[in-house]
Amino acid sequence: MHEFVVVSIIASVVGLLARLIMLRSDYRQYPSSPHSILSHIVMAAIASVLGAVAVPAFLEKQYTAVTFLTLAATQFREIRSVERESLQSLEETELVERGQAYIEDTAKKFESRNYVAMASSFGYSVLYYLSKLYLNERLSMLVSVVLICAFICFLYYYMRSGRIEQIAKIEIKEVKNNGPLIIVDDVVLVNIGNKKSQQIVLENAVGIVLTPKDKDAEVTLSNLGQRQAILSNCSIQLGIKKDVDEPDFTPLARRNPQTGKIAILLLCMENDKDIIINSVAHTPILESAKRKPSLFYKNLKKDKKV
Amino acid sequence: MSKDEIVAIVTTDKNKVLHSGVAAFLCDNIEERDNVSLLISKVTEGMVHDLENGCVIIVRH
Repeated sequence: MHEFVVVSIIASVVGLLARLIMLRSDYRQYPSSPHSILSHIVMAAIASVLGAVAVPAFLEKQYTAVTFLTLAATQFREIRSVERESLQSLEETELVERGQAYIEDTAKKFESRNYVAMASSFGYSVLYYLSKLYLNERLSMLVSVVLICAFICFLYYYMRSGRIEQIAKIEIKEVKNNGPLIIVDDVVLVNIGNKKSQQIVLENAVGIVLTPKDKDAEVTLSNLGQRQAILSNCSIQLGIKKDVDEPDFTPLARRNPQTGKIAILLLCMENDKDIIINSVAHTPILESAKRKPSLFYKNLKKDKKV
Repeated sequence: MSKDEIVAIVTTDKNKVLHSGVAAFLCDNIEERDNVSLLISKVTEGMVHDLENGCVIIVRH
């Protein structure tokens, strides 16, 4: 078989594997159906093939083939908007919405994971031809596979989003009332005028308090998209006791502006407190919500010293 | 911009509700008010909020 074909095939497989590692039907329940999994695999296969043939095409002086890479990159940018649109169209069917920020975050992840497939296969071809300058064919194949696996591992850990448990202390607190007001840890969450609904909330709802661990966490948790992501995650995993005509039982997250603590009211099917805490703890920190005011203060201190 | 809107006011004291743009329902007692507000909220998919002055408002969030 021609060397170019072998390199392209191995590179494509490496790219596809990189995508498969990151494709999990995880606790966020997306992608959860075989159809979306298949479409993601196909997109990844196309991306990795394009990445794989770029270097051989360049070496063969097939410059037209290389320009196709740029065309493909434009095409993959579309993935984000397709993901976004599909998730947005599903929003109306959700009892608890995911929220714009969560949707944008998911869409961005899918787009970047396709680039991972493309970059891995492209990286393999580059490494192969570079190492071939010093080593024989088989050895350079082996060396480039090892190096690209290390690169994929690095990307895998680098691209992992943080979790709420890393930035906040999570506690279960009692749900109290003051007249029609429902209160969790001194934060007024909602005014429920209907006595029966209020009784149900007082008896069954769980109050959760998130105490930010530092200044960065405080600002990150104040983001509305991040709060909605927590609520959406919890209702997907724990199930909620609510129907369309029962807005009284909508999960809520409100902030104590004095302390930066977030109080959450949740009426879920699950009663086990550990599972509830775990569900909040495992919510990903959204990229769009992540803030680092500490960096600003650090730079400010540096400037003053100078 | 907030999409919340008051869809109805249910009260036991008509002096507490001035000429309002939204539908206002007068009830004889608290029990009737609670029942009427529940029924309206079920129809409009709104939420009942108590103003603690004899009035409740039904808001669609």
